[in-house]
Amino acid sequence: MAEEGTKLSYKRERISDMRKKRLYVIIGFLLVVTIIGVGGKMYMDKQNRNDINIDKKVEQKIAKEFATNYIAPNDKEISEIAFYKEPVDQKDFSGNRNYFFYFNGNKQWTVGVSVEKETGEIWAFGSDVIQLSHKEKPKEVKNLTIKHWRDNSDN
Amino acid sequence: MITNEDYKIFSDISYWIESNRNHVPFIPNQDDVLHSKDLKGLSKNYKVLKTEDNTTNGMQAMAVAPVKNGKADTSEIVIAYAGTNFDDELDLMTDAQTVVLGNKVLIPESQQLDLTKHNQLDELGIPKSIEYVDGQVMTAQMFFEEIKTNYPKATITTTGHSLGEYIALYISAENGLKNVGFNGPDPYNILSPKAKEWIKENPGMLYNYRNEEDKIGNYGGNGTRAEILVNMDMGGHIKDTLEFHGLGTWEFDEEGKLVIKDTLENREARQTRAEKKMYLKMNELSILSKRLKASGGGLSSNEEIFLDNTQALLAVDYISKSMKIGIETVVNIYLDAIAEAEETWKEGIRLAQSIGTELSYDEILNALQAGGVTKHSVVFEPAAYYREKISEALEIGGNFDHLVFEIKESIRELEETDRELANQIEQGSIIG
Repeated sequence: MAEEGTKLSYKRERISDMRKKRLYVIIGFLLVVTIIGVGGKMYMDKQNRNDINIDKKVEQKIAKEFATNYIAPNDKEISEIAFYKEPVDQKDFSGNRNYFFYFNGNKQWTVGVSVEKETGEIWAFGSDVIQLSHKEKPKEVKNLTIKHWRDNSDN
Repeated sequence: MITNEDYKIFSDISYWIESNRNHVPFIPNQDDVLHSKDLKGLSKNYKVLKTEDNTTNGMQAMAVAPVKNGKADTSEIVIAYAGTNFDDELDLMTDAQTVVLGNKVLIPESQQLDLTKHNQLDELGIPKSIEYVDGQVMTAQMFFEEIKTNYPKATITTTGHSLGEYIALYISAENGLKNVGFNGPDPYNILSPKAKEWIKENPGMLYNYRNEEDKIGNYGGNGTRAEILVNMDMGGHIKDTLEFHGLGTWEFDEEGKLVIKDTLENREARQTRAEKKMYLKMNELSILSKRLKASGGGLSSNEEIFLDNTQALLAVDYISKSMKIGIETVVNIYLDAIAEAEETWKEGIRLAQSIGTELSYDEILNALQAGGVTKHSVVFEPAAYYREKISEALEIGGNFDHLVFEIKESIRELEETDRELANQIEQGSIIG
């Protein structure tokens, strides 16, 4: 009888141990998932911040290059460039990332730009609505206002 | 001259033709001028002659001609075909059904699962109950034919990237056109016997630049012999496969020529390109020769022929000069290769001597031989192969010189037969 009682108590202890182990495993699993989740989120946030910073730098470069080489349809200098749409990777194997802006406050004067994503080289300017005009000689614009896509409150 | 970089830019821009894309810099339309100032690397301005955005099968195509003196010079036309747009189901279906399975028609996806239920096949081997549309290669051919009809005297060339180059190679092989494109899977399995024969006879007409590590672009083998397989020195990580397939990976020199780095890994790529160029020049001269023979009747039949002949002489001189450079390049590449083989052997022996300092020269040779390395395999065998290639190049050069001589003679004969008319033309008494 006493032996049976010991066996029963031993069984109960084993079941209790197993439950504890299972609980530890579940808690461990949840911890790992949480760590991965939080870590992943932090990593993605960092990536996003990096991407935003890269985009800002590219926008800066685009704005300077455009203002240096082009003039407005009314023959005036380019004084302000506003990026109005989120830059996008082309959905193909071309490796292009495209940026979009209007200039001198005129939302009709929209221009698209294609940049080789890997090298950051600006290779194409184009517009579906206006004829792009070049300056006779490239000349840098000193007081150029640049409104980045992320900061542009008009978007 | 249309540069390699021009072709690359047209391949790039052809992706923008699709009208429902709102994330591209601009949509190229008929009569638009592509300005070299707006598109870095473009050698001159080009006018868009025609575009097509086929919404039934997903094909986009664009025909352009260089602008000379403010007008489109339609003696030269480039047709560019667009590659795969990930967002376009029709493109993805074309990749699967045409590039992988080799079907020229496009069967709407919804019907594919029921293939086993159908047993009556039509002339294309497709169940009669299935509705299908013309595939991209079929409408690409129609696009070419329309351009050919509208500009019958034009020399048409094709280009494209990825699926676009697959289509461009197909059109070039079927219609005997020069092609320069990028990362294209090979369309040999869908070519007609006539096109396959044309490929054999015209080894210098197709240039499909491929990246060694690009698993997508290198699909389908190299039946067309168009491949120029370039080592891009980009590392070999599987994760970067998509990057290897990118059009933006190619670099060009100041003259717009695609850069193949001068490395040992790229020797074959440089050889292939040099050989192709040599054959291309030979081909240009043969065309010129045929044209002159076709004019047959002599100078007096038409003053235009006289002018053509004057231009022909200039063209012969130009082609002759570039052909000589081409042959020299080929010969030099092979001579370098022979010297490199000799150098590799010497370097190997030096290395072996530095490791086995106790061994005599003969013992080192025996050890190398035991490992399957002999001077015969490292130096003599490759050198014999390269000498054979040099002989081939020189023989082509000899044939070429003979052809040049024949052409010049025939032009002189034509001039002799009607010197009087020639004088009149030169003095301007016949022409305006």
